[in-house]
Amino acid sequence: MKFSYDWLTNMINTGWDVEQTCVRLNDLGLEVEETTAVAGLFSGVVVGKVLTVEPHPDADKLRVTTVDVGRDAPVQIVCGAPNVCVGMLAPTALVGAVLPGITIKDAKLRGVASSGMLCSAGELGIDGQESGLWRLPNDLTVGTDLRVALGLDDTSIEVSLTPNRADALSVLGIARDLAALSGAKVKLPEMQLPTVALKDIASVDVQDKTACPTYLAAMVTMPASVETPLWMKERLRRSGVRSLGLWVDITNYVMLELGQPMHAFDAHKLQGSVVVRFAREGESCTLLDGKQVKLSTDMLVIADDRGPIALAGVMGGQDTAVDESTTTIMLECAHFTPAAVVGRARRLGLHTDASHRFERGVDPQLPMMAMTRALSVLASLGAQVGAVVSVGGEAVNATCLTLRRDRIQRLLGMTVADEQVVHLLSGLGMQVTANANGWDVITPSWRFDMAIEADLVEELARMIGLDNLPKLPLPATSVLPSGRNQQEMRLKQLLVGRGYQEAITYSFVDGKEQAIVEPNQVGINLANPIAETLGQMRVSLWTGLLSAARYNLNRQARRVRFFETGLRFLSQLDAQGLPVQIPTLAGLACGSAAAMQWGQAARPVDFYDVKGDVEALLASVGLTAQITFSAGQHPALHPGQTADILLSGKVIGQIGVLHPSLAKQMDIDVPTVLFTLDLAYLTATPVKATFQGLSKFPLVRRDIAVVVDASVSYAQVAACVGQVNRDWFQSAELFDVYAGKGLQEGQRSLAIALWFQALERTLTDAEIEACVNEIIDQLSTQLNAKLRT
Amino acid sequence: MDMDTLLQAALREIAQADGLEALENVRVNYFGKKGLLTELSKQLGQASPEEKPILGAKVSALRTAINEAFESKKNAMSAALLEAKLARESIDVTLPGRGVDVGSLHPVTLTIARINDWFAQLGFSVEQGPEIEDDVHNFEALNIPETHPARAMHDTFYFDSGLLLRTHTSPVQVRTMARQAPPLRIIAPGRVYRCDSDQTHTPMFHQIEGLVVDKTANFAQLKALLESFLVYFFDDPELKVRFRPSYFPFTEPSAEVDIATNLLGGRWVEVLGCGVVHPNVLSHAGIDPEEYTGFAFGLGVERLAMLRFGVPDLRMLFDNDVRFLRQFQA
Repeated sequence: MKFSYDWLTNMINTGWDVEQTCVRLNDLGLEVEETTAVAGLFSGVVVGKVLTVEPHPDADKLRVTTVDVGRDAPVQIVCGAPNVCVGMLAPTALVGAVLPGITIKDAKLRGVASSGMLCSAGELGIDGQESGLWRLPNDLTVGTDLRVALGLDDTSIEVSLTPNRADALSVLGIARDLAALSGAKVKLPEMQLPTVALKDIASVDVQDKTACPTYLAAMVTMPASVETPLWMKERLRRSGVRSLGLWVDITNYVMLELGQPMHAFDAHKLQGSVVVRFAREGESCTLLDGKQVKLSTDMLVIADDRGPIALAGVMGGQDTAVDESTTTIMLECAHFTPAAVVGRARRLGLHTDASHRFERGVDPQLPMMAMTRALSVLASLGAQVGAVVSVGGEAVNATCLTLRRDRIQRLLGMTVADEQVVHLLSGLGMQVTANANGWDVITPSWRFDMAIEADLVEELARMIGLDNLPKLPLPATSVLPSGRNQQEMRLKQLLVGRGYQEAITYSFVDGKEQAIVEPNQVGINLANPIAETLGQMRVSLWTGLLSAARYNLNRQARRVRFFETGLRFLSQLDAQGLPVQIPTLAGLACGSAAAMQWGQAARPVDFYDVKGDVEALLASVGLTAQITFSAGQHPALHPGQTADILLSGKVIGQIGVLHPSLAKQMDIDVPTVLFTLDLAYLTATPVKATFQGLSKFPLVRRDIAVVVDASVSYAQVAACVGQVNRDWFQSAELFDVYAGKGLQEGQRSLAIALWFQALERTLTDAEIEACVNEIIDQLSTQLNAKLRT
Repeated sequence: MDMDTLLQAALREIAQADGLEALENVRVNYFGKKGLLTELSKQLGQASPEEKPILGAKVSALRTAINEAFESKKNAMSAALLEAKLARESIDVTLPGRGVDVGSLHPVTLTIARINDWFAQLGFSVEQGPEIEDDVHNFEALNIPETHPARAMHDTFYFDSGLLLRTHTSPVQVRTMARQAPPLRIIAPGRVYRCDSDQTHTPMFHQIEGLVVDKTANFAQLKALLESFLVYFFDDPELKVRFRPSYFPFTEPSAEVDIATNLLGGRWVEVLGCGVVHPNVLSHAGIDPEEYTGFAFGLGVERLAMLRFGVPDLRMLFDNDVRFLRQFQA
């Protein structure tokens, strides 16, 4: 909502300047977005009257004029504007005048002396007026300073209003709030229903009085040549509204002034009587913007004998629109309820000043006042006015609320004196009556947002000023916060310590790209994506991470390590009917294994680098013993370098090298390893550690090297070794893997250190020997392993 | 050779030995099987019983003196050798170390963590919820019925099923209240989505929702809590905080909070929205609004992160450019 400060001060005199007014508006919750001067900075410009216009002897496009500027003698000015003519009043910059960008001096134009400049609106920093010389109204006094004559030392104030404050979508509404705060009185503009001078009477039938409780219509006639007066044009301009001819301008003017949307139908284009009803199946209407819209049966329309001619409370129709030749209108001033308007405009892709207001609510008692004001202004401009036809218009039941004294204290944390409560609420136009525990409050018709007791408490808070309300400490609590979040941070910090950077990618990805990475999963498509490349919910975090990696590789990064946490979205529904949404931790490493370093040979990252990171992650949350890795498959990963990650036999993640053909398809030309883990398993409350005794006896190491078939995994070997039934067998550590010379093709040798230590005694060589032999026997029996000699 | 001469000769030879080997030869020459001291000890046997103890003591003193000189020389030589070895082993300590490879947390995460930490100390639990939500949790339960004009402000992403991407973290309030009885103190950080994309809007961003429900929760507590939070967050005791009346369908009264700090040239910047929980929201969650009151607040994480770290363009937060990300270590 944009309005001019000058207009506002016409309705209320608070004594506050622009700046003070803006501070108060902010305090009231009418947030000031912007203030702008209504004209450029200029001086020395007066109202001039063109006395003579002669051709320039040496230039076709220039004229030589004499202009009365209110001094003893007229001044000679050479002018290039084609619309200059004798008798017109125009802004005249005198010698010495300073305009945006220029200073006016005595000059010669093609040999003819010129002492000043006739100005267009644009040259004065005023937009939205016609081009060429700015034709000023004839009632201005010649020689007056233009800034004074037109009140140009004014400021446009734009406020951003919350949806509940539709009552403030007018100068009157703003004035009312300032009146409540300042104690100054609102001065309504002068208005009086003009004498009926036209016999024409609108014929109106309202079929749905719930949707349209009030419908006023009046015929108005006036010669098409009458223009919008400059003062109105200027107020509209300063409110950000373009002048579109008097008929439209008057409806906009009254809407801005009082908050009531109105509409002017060209009376000659109406056929038969006007009906307010809901649209019928299959009806359509061509609106003012030229768009033909299909109407649905919940859309309230204004119709004549032909069918719908306007979408009620949204926009008029083209067939009955006023134009330059319109001389008679039917002026509509109606109340449509929010329920009858809300959502309709949006469904048709429309948003108008009228729909904006009616959706939020308009004072139901306002139509008669607005009609009176509009007709009154039109009559003052020479219009002839018919009788106002009124359908409905019954008084709306006032809202009565109860406000309890103790509730104010409970919600605000302070007591407000009884007299102050009455004073503040009365200032807002409320009728306040005391009762045993507080007050009964009848709200004014324009504060249709008042629905519950808390609304009244908010009004009190607003009037007292939120900054003046007390501050109280939050009491101590016995509520214990959960620790789940700390676990997640620990995991993130571990990855950071291992060189990963945290990425945040969008939860929606390019469906086409996701189909390449995750061809076996169905992603859920957005119905209204912002772009097709952000059209599908991710089923894994890999599509986003790969795309982020590519972004950086394309910018010459040669090594990227990313991780991300967030939900992935499956198409299956959970018990609540929502898609399954799984908290996930995923990562990616590409390029060299380590940052460039002088003492370390550079090599590309491989499976085991990233597996180490994943194992460290799992170990950091106490998950080592229950975790296994087993060869797995994923369409995006190398078929021989992929593992499922299992927790007690349940798959909780995957790790693998990006499939070379996928890498090529995605334009990633460095080795890349991906992993993903279901976060919930990692952030579950960890099992508490229990102390184990420390042995004072010697730790014994025995090394064995066994040759197994390459198809035998280390996990099988380790499991077999782990079966040995001695409580003093501590652990097995793999320290070498060898294949090649000395071994048969398809075989490999695993060198394992076996560690033994008993808690209560020194072990004997004989029992260790027996145990090692047993391990070797088992490896031999179960896995056909041979001791390497 | 008398003992004094022997001592002088031994000390001289020890002093002149120019290596461990030479020194060892000297030792053998005196202490070896046929060494001079060994010989001297043998001669003791021939001395008279009266002379024996006197001579014995003299020989023993001589032996000690030579031995001490020898040991001291040997230690000095070893130390010199070690020193020389260590000197040869010195390295360029300014060469970079191995495995210096520290990553970084995303500035949004750092911001959320900073906020979580503060509220956790006041007994707030961190709660999370689904991002694909239904209309009830995202709108209706928050007093935003189908026809509410506030819906137009939300630019919601929808799915064909009628489900939607949550437009704020407020549905977590609703889910928490349905699950837990008051008193409640929660914050809910997370991703939210609006169908909007330009220089100052990304279709996905982060919010933190806060909710307190208790028998005495009121606007005055909300004010004190948020003001001290903002002073903490911006680490600026001079921070100015302004509460302005505003509107959210799920709170009444509602306010927006602006801050002004020298960091931002003193201009007012809006940082969060808040209010006293609307009784309809409590009722919808099965909490009696006569018995309990609540207050809630919601803040935009990106806005706070940008202010704190001086990031000029929102969109940089989601480019995942490693040169950008590595700037944020704490």
